[in-house]
Amino acid sequence: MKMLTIFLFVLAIKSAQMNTSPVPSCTVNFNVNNAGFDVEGSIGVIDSKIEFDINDPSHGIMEAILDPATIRTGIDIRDKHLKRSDFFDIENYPKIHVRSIRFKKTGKNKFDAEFAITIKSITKNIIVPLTVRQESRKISYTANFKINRLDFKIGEESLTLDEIVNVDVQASVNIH
Amino acid sequence: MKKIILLLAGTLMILPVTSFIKNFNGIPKTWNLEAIKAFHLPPPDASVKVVYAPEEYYNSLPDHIIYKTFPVYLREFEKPGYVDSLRNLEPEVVFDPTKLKTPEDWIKAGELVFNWPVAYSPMNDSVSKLSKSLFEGSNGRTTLDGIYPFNRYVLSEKGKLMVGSVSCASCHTRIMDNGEVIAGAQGNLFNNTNFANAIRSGKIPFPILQQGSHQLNYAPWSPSNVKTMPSNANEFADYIQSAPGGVIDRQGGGYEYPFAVPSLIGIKDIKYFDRTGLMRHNGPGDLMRYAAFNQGMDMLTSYNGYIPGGKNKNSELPAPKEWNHPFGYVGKKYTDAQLYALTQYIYSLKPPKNPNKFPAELITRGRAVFAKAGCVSCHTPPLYTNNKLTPVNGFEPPKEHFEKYDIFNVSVETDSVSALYTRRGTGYYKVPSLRGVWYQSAFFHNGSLSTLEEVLDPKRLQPDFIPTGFKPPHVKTMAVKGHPFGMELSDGDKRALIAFMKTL
Ligand code: HEC
Ligand code: HEC
Repeated sequence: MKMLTIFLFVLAIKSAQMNTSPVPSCTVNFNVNNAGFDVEGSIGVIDSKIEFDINDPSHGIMEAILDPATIRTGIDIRDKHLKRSDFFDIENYPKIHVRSIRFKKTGKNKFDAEFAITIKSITKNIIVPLTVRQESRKISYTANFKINRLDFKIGEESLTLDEIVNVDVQASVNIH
Repeated sequence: MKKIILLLAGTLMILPVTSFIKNFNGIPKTWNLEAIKAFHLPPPDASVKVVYAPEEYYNSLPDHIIYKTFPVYLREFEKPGYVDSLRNLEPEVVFDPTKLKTPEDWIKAGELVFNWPVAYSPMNDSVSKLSKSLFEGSNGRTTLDGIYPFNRYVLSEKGKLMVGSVSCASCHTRIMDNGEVIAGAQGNLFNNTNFANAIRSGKIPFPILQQGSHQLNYAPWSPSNVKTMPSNANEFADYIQSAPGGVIDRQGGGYEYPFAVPSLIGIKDIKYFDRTGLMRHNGPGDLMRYAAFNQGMDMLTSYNGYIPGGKNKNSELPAPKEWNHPFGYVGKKYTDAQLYALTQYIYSLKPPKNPNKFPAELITRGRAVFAKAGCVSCHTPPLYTNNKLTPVNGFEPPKEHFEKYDIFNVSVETDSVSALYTRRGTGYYKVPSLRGVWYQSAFFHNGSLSTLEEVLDPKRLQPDFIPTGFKPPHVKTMAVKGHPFGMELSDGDKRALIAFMKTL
């Protein structure tokens, strides 16, 4: 059981308009149920890349590196716990990697994106529904999905803390 | 014994273990060195060599014979002639294991063990040595009918009355504000005024006190700036008088680092004993061992060759007559039957009726705050503890501990001296159960806080805070650091949270 928890995740991003705006801005939030209530938190993204053309999704690339040391859940000691060996073990695994494998169009502005997520050297592929919206000055990317923290040895089974972590990723790339 | 089990197992396959236990009354063996090693956590410094007293030594100690004992009253409440009348009685052995048949018999007999003092001093007066004035302005308490349960009169030889002290009941009995007496709850009745006076007056020579204090508190691995003894008599008298109800010095703790007395009610479900989780609890055998160690034997454990209660410069085990336990424990052991009965009594203890009445909405809100603020992760229902150990600041659990122990791997950042530099130290503090906090008045391992409001008050983190619980006597203000949970809640949420905790 470990304190509530955590989690993380990420996705990434960078746009086809590399020339105009090479650095996407990207946030990763998560929530997980602990004893009937949601614990909300975030993890910082230290590097990301999006090369994605909605008309040519098969050649899209999205990548991100997250820093689990930046995890925040609103309780300082909980955050410290999340960094220790039983959770993210940041000493041995200072980075979380997310890398796209392939994209499949599923509707207007909608895609199924397969990502390889690597946490604590464990890699799992998951399919994430991705929404891409072109606005006047930017392109934004949104993905909501669930992961099972136990797949990545993030904590153990717990009486209070759910295994399923909801992840919300928002990224955007400015154009002109 | 092992051979017998194996034999039985071999021939009978299924029946053996249960029938074996039944044949022998199911009483575990207290001084089983393998079990003793397994149930102890090691000191935080893994290089320290710990050796427990050998089985032959333990077996050679004379047994406690438990006689009928009698309450000690304040003089003002004592019937005329009471003390002398006791002297003329025939001593009566009341603990007789051959007469114990039903579980209820064992529980009743265990109560006798719980109340059996293990330190004695002669009583030659005709009236009680205790009077009301002794209790004025002190932390000690008596029952409404003037009984001081820390002591009992012991009559083991006709005509020779003794005042007995340091039974389990001495420290593990609580007297509530309304006079109700609760066996097993956080003890709060100890009155050390007489002791403090004897120290101040020099009746107890200071060098002897210093030596006793060193024996009680010295841990060979602790740095030299951690004190093991007072520098003068008044300092020591101030120290023992400064401990509020619910906080008691225990051997193997640290000088000026007493412990909050735990409640023994509901202890059957608690997996680690002591704030530091020094001993594991997997059934009556472990509780029996806990009692044997804490009522004398832990002073005879060797730590890198230092035996706190040892003779010849703490290097050798003393003969029973040579025991010099600073708390006065005699060189005797409880029998296994006595200890087993004791466990049955302790396991049977029930919480008092909770008089708190709060509106249902307040409790509902408090329960939600308890979950939202993350308390549940550590103080997990239904025990309101996850039964785990948290490493203290300055201790990193070795890898193998994760397999052996139940570790909640983050420090709550409270003061780490008791966990690192005392003989009770393990590098951890356990997550205490919050059941019964409504009848508890000393919180955190050293009992520095006395109310739940203070636990949640961020002011206590500041150096100008005046703790209402234990603080060293020469200290005027002191931060009570760590465990910052719930401090940022709104006043309304805090009120609800506290109300909720007071229902547990
Ligand atoms: C001089 C006072 C004193 C006496 C006598 C005493 N205790 Fe205690 N007991 C304490 C204190 C103080 C602690 C807390 C120690 C710690 O946390 O390290 C404690 C802790 C315990 C615990 C650990 C409980 C827990 O949840 O951590 C048990 C069990 C216990 N005592 C049982 C007994 C029994 C049984 C006896 C009699 C055989 C006894 N005690 C006698 C003061 C006393
Ligand atoms: C990370 C685990 C953890 C969390 C989360 C936690 N506690 Fe604790 N709690 C502890 C530990 C460990 C202690 C003992 C500290 C010590 O003795 O130094 C303790 C002690 C206490 C005590 C004093 C009990 C006693 O007997 O000393 C109270 C009251 C308490 N906690 C209430 C709460 C509340 C309310 C919350 C949520 C706002 C909370 N705790 C969150 C681990 C935790």
